[in-house]
Amino acid sequence: MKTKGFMVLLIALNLFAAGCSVERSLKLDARLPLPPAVKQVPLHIGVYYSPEFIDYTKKIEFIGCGPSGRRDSYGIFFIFPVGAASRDLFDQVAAGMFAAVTRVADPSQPFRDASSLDGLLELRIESFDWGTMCTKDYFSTLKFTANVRYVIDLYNSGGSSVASMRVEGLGIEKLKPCLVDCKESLAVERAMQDAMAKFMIEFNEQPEVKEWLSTRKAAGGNP
Amino acid sequence: MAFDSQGSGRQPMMRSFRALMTSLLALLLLYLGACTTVQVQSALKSPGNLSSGENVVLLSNFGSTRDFDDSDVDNCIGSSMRQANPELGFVPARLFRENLFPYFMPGTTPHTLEDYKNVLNKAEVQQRITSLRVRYLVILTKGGTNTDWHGGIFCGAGYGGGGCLGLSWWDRRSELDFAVWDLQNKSFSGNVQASAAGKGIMPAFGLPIPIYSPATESAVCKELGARLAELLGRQE
Repeated sequence: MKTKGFMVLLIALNLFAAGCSVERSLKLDARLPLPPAVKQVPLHIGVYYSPEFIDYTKKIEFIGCGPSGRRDSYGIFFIFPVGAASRDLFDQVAAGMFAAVTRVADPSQPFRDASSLDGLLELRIESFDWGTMCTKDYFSTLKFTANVRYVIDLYNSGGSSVASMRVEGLGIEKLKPCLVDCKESLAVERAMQDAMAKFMIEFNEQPEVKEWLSTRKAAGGNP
Repeated sequence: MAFDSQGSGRQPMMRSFRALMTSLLALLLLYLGACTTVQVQSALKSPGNLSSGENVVLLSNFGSTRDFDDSDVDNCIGSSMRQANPELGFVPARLFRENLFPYFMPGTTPHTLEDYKNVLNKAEVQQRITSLRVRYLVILTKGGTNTDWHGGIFCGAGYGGGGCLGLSWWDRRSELDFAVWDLQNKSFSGNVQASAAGKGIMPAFGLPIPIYSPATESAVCKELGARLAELLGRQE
């Protein structure tokens, strides 16, 4: 009898939880309002985004903060379309870094389709994580944290690998009450921009890239 | 008559009770009066030559502390700087970061003198700084609040009710440290730091009620803002 009662309660709880769970797909737009403050390299670069990269999304449950930092689950799930937003941001970043940028549809034959390319960049999302942090005091406050890691491969005009860079971005944002015209990125856009900023600064500092740049510039490049 | 005689007998007792309460209150007020002390230290090499039209930007720094974001820094020192010197011009942190991208992001904020020189020597960066007319960058280098609890409050409950008894007090210390960079002259101007310490007290007779909570963080913000406004706002 007891077991029966427990089972009924469990089923009721499951149904309640199932009925109350909410999914929300976020609209991410991490594009920059201004062109980056960097000097353009006089080269023509191809950029390839794989279908897996563009379609990369992640569904993560929101865990809220209870009293004294208690972690509370509310059955709310967020869906983050990180791939598409990263593509839009990288288009802008690449356009700021190089004199000319062309999107390449097939990475196996980029230089036949666009023979003027000096090199090709390919992006991958290695990991994406999102969550919340709670303060330990009684009236615990919440912060969103996001972390994204990209792998960016550079190929030369012959299709051989020149360098592979790993960049990581971090975003932290406080929970802010908002009723109308809210821009919800929950720290994700900041994390993406942080990673791209690192890429822009560190790209020219890689020894392999430096060497490649010097040979391309000596060859006159294809701006 | 009996009523009058009882009343006159209570009068000395009431007087001594009042005297005791008054002295306790006076002692408490004296104690509270000395509760929050603020110390400010500033070491600016070349303070005070902000010309008219030149601006200041206030930034947080995730590399130093994640407890403060740009809006916290602005709420902390920005409001007291504006109050102390309404003529000071400010560039919003967001606008500065948007203009200086990819620099001054959480992972790309310069830290050392050499880092700053590398960034500020770039023509594209100088061009953006000039267009924003930013002279001084005030950036958080250290910040936080520590609280140590003492004493104890014991609470209990039964069928007839519940309650707490005891006394708790806490020492709170807040510290903030800002670095000031002269972006036009590409030089480090110095540091301004402040710390505040205070004691909070919470007796519990039935319910725990905090009778004093030291606002160390707001005291530090106020003093630092006023000092920075004074140091940066002097005309040539």
